[in-house]
Amino acid sequence: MKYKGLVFDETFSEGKKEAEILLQNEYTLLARFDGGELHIELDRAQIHIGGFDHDMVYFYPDAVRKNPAVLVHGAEILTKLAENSNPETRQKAINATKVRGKKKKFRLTGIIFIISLVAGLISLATTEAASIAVKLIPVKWDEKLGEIGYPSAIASIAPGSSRVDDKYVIQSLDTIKNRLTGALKKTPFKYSITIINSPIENAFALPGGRIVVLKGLLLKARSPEEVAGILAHEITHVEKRHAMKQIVQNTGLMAILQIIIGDTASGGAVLLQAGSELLSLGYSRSMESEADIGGMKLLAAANIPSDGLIQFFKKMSENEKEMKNMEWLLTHPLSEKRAQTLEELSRKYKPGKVEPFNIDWKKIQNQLR
Amino acid sequence: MKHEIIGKPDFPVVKIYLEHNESILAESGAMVSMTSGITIETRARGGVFSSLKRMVMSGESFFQNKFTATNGSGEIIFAPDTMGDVHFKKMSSEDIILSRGAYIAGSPDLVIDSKWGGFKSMFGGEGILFLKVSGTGALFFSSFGAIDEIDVRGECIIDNGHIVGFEPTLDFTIEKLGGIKSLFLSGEGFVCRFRGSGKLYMQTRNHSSFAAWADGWRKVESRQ
Repeated sequence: MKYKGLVFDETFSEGKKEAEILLQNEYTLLARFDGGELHIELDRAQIHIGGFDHDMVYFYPDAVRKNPAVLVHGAEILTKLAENSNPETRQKAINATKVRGKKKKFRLTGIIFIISLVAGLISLATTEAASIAVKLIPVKWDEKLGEIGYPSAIASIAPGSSRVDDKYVIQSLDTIKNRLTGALKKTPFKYSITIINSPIENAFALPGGRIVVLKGLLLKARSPEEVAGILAHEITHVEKRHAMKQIVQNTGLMAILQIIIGDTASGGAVLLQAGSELLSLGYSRSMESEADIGGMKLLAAANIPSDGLIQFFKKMSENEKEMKNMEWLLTHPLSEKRAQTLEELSRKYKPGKVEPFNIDWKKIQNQLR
Repeated sequence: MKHEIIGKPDFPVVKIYLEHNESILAESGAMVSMTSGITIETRARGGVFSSLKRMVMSGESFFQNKFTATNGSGEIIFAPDTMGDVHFKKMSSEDIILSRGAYIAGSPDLVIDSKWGGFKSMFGGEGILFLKVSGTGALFFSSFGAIDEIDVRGECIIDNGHIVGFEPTLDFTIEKLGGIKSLFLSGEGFVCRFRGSGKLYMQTRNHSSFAAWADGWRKVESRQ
């Protein structure tokens, strides 16, 4: 068996020469190079693992001298030497193999550690980059995305349902919506409400400002303030462009880079294509809490008591056993912590004065039934 | 590809003579001047993630520029970021490990990869990853101060801020020189102990020492 390697010698002009190395017999290692050969006596030699990747074996002539030296690429020669009949050589080979194993293992743990660290950083960077990219995306895209997403959203949540066309219901919800959007300082979005004739208790906002409210939710709510709480939460999702952020994050770094670099056309194509499917994904937990905070602030600014949302949450959670139709709760689970945070928020953001809605809630529910 | 290193050893630049259709890759921002027949193509070499890895871990630029003489022969000049020597190495199917930021330019045939230097390198002050350049072609790298080649035979100790590059037949460990007291008081901190045989490229000045020295002259706004 021949091995590839190098012979290092101070007398060589380059300091080293390429060599072909073989085990001549159990006592001698022979290195043949251009212009000569070198013998290393194995029982006197030092055997070391070396090289940046720990995959080279050094043979030094004795315990003291480091010149000349023979280097063998790869660690296979150690396996061969571990079968050597000379016990001393055998032991040296075994020791060197052990050292190599340790070094490799140490490196592996390091690599795993670094990869997880980098993965963490990248996901952080992606979130950051997504926020930056979203700022560069024109608001029109949100509207476009909402338009594209609407049919598929309805198809997946309440297939085949018609719209509620009762004038009083529509007007009342518009009143609530207008009070909230009037409290927004400045908004690039045009908000509209679509009420769907479905027993499911749900409401969701599409990017661009279209808010879909399902009949079941209106029947469940006991007051316009409760509905206002949910709308405020959904409006915040739209204002913060959470859907777009989510999509940008999920379509990946490439799309983000394309947008940042300025190639919005191709980046946009990717986004819109993936968008309608991704809309069905829920928002991340941080987005939800952002919407909670934003919703509470908005309620306070619109002079609406902010405990409506909490009451609604609690009521839905009490009936948790009959989970049927409670879709909004499914995507907005009320953990103890969330309830606590919401209550703290409602104490923090209190409206200056309360202006009750002039809406006959009983009438609305009767019309809907 | 012919070249000439001008202004050695303090503030050198490398002047490269490209034949027609010959190319050279360089770090972004390294170009100083060029003749008009050279075209530039900017790309993230090896894809976005490789480039990110190289940028974050080894201190190279995200984008690399490929300069090609498309209209007859041309001349192009590159300069490193800091004052210090430029070194030319003719690579013939071999590998070299470079420390953070040392690479300036090289033949397009050279393969550049980031190499994990082990846990130890996190304390080495040279970035977590090294750059492994392999293949055949011309390679230009820079140092802070002058460059000296050390022929390591067996062992060699070098301050971690003075490593420019080394041959992959060498392995190193980071250790402290002397006891705990020396670690904090001797000003030597951590050093690298290289083992094996091969060439080690040493720079005669250290970035961090220079930065620490220059910091003393930095204008500090007084707090009101």
